[in-house]
Amino acid sequence: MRFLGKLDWLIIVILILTSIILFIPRRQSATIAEIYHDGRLVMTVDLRVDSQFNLEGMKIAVSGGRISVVDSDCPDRICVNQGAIDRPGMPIVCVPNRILIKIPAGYTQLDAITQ
Amino acid sequence: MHQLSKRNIASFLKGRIFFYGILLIAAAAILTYLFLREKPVEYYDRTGYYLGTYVTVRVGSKTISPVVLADAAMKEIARIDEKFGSRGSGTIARLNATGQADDLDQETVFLIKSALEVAENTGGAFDPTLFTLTTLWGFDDADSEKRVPLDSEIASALAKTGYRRVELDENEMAVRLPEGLTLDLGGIAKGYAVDLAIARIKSLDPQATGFIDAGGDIGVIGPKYGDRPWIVGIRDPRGKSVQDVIEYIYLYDGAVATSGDYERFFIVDGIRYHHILDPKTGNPSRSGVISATVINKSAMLADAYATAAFVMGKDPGITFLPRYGTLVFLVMEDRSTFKSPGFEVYQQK
Repeated sequence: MRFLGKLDWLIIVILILTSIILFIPRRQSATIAEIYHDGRLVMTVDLRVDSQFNLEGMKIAVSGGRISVVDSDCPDRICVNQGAIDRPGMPIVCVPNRILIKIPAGYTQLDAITQ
Repeated sequence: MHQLSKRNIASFLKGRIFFYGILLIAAAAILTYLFLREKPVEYYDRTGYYLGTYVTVRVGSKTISPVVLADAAMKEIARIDEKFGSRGSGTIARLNATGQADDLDQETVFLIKSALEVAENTGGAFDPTLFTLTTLWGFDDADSEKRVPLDSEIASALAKTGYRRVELDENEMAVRLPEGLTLDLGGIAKGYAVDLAIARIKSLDPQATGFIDAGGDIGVIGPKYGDRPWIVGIRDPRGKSVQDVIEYIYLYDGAVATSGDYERFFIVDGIRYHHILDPKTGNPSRSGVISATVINKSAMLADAYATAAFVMGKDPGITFLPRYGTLVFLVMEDRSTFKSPGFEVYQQK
């Protein structure tokens, strides 16, 4: 006879799973993306609205809450190959054009509007 | 098959009781911790109609009921509305009727002084004596008839303006206006009410956090949950909806205000006539700016400087405003934008 039976292991596994689920942070969906040129914030883009625009020889598109570089005049086109992003953590970088597109981490909810 | 001896059963039970006992104690400890640990502040919202606009107070406190704080703030704003609002029969209305007052209180002197100071600092781009002009164009009230006045009418109304002609005597608490000149503190009263309401909340709880939004003039009481910025969108002046935002700023403290040509305007023959009048020409300002947003420590100053920035325009206009603790964001007619150096500090968390 072992120290813990099958039932005990079941209880332990259920407990561990429950606590993991409880501690998973609720993911906020990002609503804005920031575009930096030469390290300076040049544009803030609303991800809730689909749009397409040109910037520094790059064609940038927002579609379905995701932002991507669809075309670029840079030689290696790494930025285009990075695809679309929709959450913080992994920015799109174009070194030749000195462009950085990122979704700011955490609190992206709008609190007020000045008008 | 394995035979259980009495000793085995006893130690087996003992082990289990021990194991589940520890589990139970751990669970109790975690629950106690969750219950006793500091909870994040809950924010309380209160909205009222004052000073011709909707005022929202969002406040949270760890020590005082936010309802009490919001009450105190709203009382303060209501008092300013009563005293300086356009409907009011207060000091300013009497001053304008008689042309002089020598029984001003400190608050009125402070407001007049602040208005004249901003006017001085902006070379008259902000001018608190334009009410005659405003009325002429019909921008004094939503119900007033709006029309393009004749040049001669504008010229004669312009003669009844000019902040330099206001005689304020701080020591005697007195002010004199030349014949026909009227003083209009509407341009700064809203911001002043926000500043005052924040001061009132801070006097009750210095650690309180939140913000006050008076029709787009936003003053921060304290950072969100004590350590995060309030995220404020700048309205897109040509957006389809009021919720369309052209830029975002992050405010930990201070205030922001915007002046735009979309607030009050009418269109005749395809020309947009808006309510921000150029004190030099008496016509709606044509500086190429369609929206000016200003960050300042004080909501009152932000409000006044936003109007001035709108009139002054990009170049050389607003270039010296940072000297007065004022950062500017402009949207031009072609929807290009311009930021004062340093404005981007407020676009980083």
